[in-house]
Amino acid sequence: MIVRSIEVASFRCFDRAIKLSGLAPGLNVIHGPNGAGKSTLLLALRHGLLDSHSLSGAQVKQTMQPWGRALYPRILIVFEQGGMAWRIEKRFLSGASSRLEREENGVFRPVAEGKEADAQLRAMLLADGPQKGAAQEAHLGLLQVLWTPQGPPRLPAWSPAVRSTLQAAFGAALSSKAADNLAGLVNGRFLDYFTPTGQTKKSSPMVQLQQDVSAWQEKALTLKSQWEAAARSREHLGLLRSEIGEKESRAALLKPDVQAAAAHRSRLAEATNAELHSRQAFQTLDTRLSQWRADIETAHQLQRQMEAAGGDHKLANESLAAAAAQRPRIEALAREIEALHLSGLDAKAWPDLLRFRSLAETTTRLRRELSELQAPQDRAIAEIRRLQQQLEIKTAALDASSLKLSLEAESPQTLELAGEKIAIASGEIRELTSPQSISIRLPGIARITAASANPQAAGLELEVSDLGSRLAILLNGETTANLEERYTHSQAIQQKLTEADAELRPLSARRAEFEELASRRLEWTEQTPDIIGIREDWKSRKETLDKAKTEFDLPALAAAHATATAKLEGLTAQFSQINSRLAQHAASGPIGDLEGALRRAQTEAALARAGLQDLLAGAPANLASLESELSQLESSLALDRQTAAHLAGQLAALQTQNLYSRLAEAEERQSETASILGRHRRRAAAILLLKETLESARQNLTSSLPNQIAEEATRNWRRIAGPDAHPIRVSESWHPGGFHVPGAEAGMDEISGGEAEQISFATRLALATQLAQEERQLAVFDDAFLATDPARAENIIGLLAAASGRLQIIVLTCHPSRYATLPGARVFDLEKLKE
Amino acid sequence: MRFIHTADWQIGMKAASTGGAAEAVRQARLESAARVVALEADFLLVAGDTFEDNAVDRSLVQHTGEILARFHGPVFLLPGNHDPLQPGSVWDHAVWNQFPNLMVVREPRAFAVPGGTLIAAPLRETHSRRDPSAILAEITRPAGTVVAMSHGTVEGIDPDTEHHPISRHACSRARADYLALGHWHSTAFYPDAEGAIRTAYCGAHETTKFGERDSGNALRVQIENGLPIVESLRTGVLNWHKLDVQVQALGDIVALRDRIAALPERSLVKLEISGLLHAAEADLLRQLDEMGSRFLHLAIDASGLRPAADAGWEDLLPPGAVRMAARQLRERAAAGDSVASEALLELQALAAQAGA
Repeated sequence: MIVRSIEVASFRCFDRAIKLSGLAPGLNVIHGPNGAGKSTLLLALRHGLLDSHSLSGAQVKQTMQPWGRALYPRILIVFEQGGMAWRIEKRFLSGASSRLEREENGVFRPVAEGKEADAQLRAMLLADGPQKGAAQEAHLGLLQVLWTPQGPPRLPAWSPAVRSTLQAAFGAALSSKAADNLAGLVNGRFLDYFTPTGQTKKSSPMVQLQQDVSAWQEKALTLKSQWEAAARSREHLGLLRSEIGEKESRAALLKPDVQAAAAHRSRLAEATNAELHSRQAFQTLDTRLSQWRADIETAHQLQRQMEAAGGDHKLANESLAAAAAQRPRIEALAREIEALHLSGLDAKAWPDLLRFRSLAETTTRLRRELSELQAPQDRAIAEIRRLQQQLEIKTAALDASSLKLSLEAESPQTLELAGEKIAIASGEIRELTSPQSISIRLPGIARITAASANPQAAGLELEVSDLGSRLAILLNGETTANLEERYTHSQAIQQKLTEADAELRPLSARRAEFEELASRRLEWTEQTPDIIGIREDWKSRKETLDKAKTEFDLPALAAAHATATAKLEGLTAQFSQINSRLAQHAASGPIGDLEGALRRAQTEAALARAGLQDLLAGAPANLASLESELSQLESSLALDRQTAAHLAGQLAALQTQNLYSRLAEAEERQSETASILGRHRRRAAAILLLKETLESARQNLTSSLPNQIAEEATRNWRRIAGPDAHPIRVSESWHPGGFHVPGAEAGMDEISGGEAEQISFATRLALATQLAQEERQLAVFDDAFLATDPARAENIIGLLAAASGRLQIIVLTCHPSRYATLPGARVFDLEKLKE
Repeated sequence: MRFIHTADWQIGMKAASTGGAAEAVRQARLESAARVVALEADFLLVAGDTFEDNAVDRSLVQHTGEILARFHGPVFLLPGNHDPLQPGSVWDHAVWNQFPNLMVVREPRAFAVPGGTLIAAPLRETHSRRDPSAILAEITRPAGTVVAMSHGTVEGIDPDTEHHPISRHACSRARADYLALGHWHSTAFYPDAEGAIRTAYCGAHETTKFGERDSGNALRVQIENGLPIVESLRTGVLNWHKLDVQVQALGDIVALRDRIAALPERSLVKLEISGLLHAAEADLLRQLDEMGSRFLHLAIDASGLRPAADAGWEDLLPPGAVRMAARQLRERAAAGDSVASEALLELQALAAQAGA
């Protein structure tokens, strides 16, 4: 803002109107003596431009109204601002008014009036124009900088608005419209991607794109995994089929060998069976022949025993006969003794008594003996004999038809027989016999089973078992021979008992007679004195009798005879059995035939064994391993084929899923989206960098403002004090703080008043010049150089002249001569203007 | 004997570098295939990689088989490393039994072809260090002209490639008059000592990616008296352009724009611009970007571009912080900071917008 003219009336010392018109846009000097109103003029400018027309009367009286005069102040200012000319007229107190006009085509036309005019003018000149009058320093706005009042040279505390404006002035683009506009565009771009705090916006295209990229990436990874699995499956299946082919080839090569081996094994089994059968046949025949021969031998033995028994029996017979022959003599002798002994007594009855007693004793003894003997009954012994005979017959038949297996171990073996593990030492021979079958398992080698060819073997075995059981029940733990012997003995006793009973029965009727006779005999014996001789004779005869009885003991001899008879009969029965079996043996032909058959069987068995040995010798050594290999191969093939079928099924299923095209789409979409995202990211990064760089530049400019001010102020100061003057130091509050001197700092209090005045001026001029960068500004210096010496004052004049290129300068002074050298300055004599 | 030698159709291939044009790229390969089978010859050899993968859609296999069957003579297909002969592979498809003139090489063997014999052996693995052509020498064949077909990397092409190596003497070793190779996508000839081309890569019938040299061809081979005469025939339908352009002077971008505008419509363009963007041409960059709608695919990478420090735009920036920021960004861009370059371009664009 520069002022073209100012007209003031009824204002302090100007009770009459005074008008300064034609102010130069550059240098102006208004001079007058002290009290001429130079400062009042400056005050009028401040009130006219910045104050409200509706100030209170007290305020107006205090600051504007001429002293002691009831006049109404009026101020009219014509000025230029923003490339246009404006006119403001304000009246205070009575008829207070404010009117703002703008020059249009050479004519001022009203723009606003009253408070509106005041406000518009303040807004035009000051960003934070005075709210309550312009008297307060803080409300002067830029005039704080531009207008230098009288008084101490110190600069005022800059208001925030002034600081902001100065900052912008030094930073130029910080708050210029163009810079603001550009910064706004940068910020707009920034906000496309980021929040005001610099976080990525949720609505930023990058967020959605990143989500899309991730989603496609995830899908692509999944599909790729499936695709790779399918590829592996194909390769696996290929390898598997190749392996299957190789295995099939190997199996095909192996099968003939295995079949040959199996055929050999079959032949071996047949040969083994044949050898077993031939051996069994041989053994059967051998057994039969052995049995036959044993039976013959037994028969011979029995025959010899029978002959011996016959001899014994004959001797017993003869002894018995001899004894029987001696019997009459012995009885006669006994009678003689009895007669001697019982002479005088009833010799007739006494022998009967003695016989009675002897028989009674004999029967008693025989019965006791019989009861103690526990001999079998007739039926029992008959049944035993019958069962024994049948058992021997059936056993012989069963034995003849049984399997007989001889096992000779060539090395230590463990075999299983009827489920039991049996260890056989090397060289040990194990004979195995069974009526029906024999099954031997050689673990890890083979199971050998031989079955009887005789279908009746099972029946025979059952019959033998049954007969044995029945016989065992009858024998009740005894042997047949014992029972036979007891039976024979009992028969003999029974016979004796029968005979004794028969003899005793008639004597028993004479028991009473015998008891009386015995009693009398005792009495008679005691009464006969010469009986001694008789007795001695009796004794002699008695000894003879006893000796004869002993020698010819008929019962004993009869018993011996009975025993010999029984033995002979037993042997005869056995012989009969043997004969019967020999007859059975002979029924199938003469023994010579059997011996011939046995020799043939032996030959056949030898041949079968030799054939078996040949087969065993010719058996493939790796038969088991071949079979095992083929088995494993076939198992492996089955498994491989199953796996291959499974894989093929999986692949077929995958082929219907268009895996590769879906993978291609996912990867392409991922790539495309990532490309777009990349572009956005680069752009976002660029915009972020641009914004940050811009802000950084602003901050750098702001922080360097004191230095910039100091630099400009020093430039001015050196034009005043010379090029070697110390640089001015400017504080953070943008006030001159003294000088930088080498090795020290000189504060404002340490320098002269003139230099303080000059430094303040240099700093103020630097600030004012910056403020005028975009538009010429009015700078007023009210007697500001009073302490400056003439030489430096001359330099100041030069400096003012230079500054007038940007500033409208009004110097208010009471020493106009000092400014006589100002080039092109308009000079106003205030005294003359008041006239 | 006259036959067509083609390979590496890569039907169903991914085209992730072509953005939204991938499907069009895949379709173009079928279109090119149709151009191959329309060529005049007695028989047709496809030397491997007919398909990109054994997992490609079965409908695509059917369609490809139908295209191949249009060839008026016998067609011999060699499974390659991308489509090796494996269970569940594309070669299990029924289409190969549907047309009598299609023959898949399923084992090393000789085939009677018009004028002579073809010997070939299929690839069964994706990766292998065995020479797939080695077995060709063992194939018994009648006397006369012999054409061999294999798939792999001729020694010396790429020292980093170890899979399916093929001896440089594979043709003579196989006692063949000509060895038709597949695997490498650029057309390449291997003359013998007498200068006769007896081993050749026909190259992909359609270009598969940016920067691929001399692809999009098929070879017509005529063998007379044992001497092959090879003729390269254009079969590709798409044009792949990878442009790396340095702009400096005012007018360079105009020239680039005109160059791009002159490209055929069925093109895929990958443009990398670096250098200086003058303020006066800033709008041309946007025009280039908008030209993408003319082509199947246009990708522009201008990260190497930075605004020129001409007298124009920076002096017009508001003084102070903005100019300082511009100066700092320029210094970083000059040091190779691509983000700073792009930031500077943004500032230039915004300044232009603010001025407008």
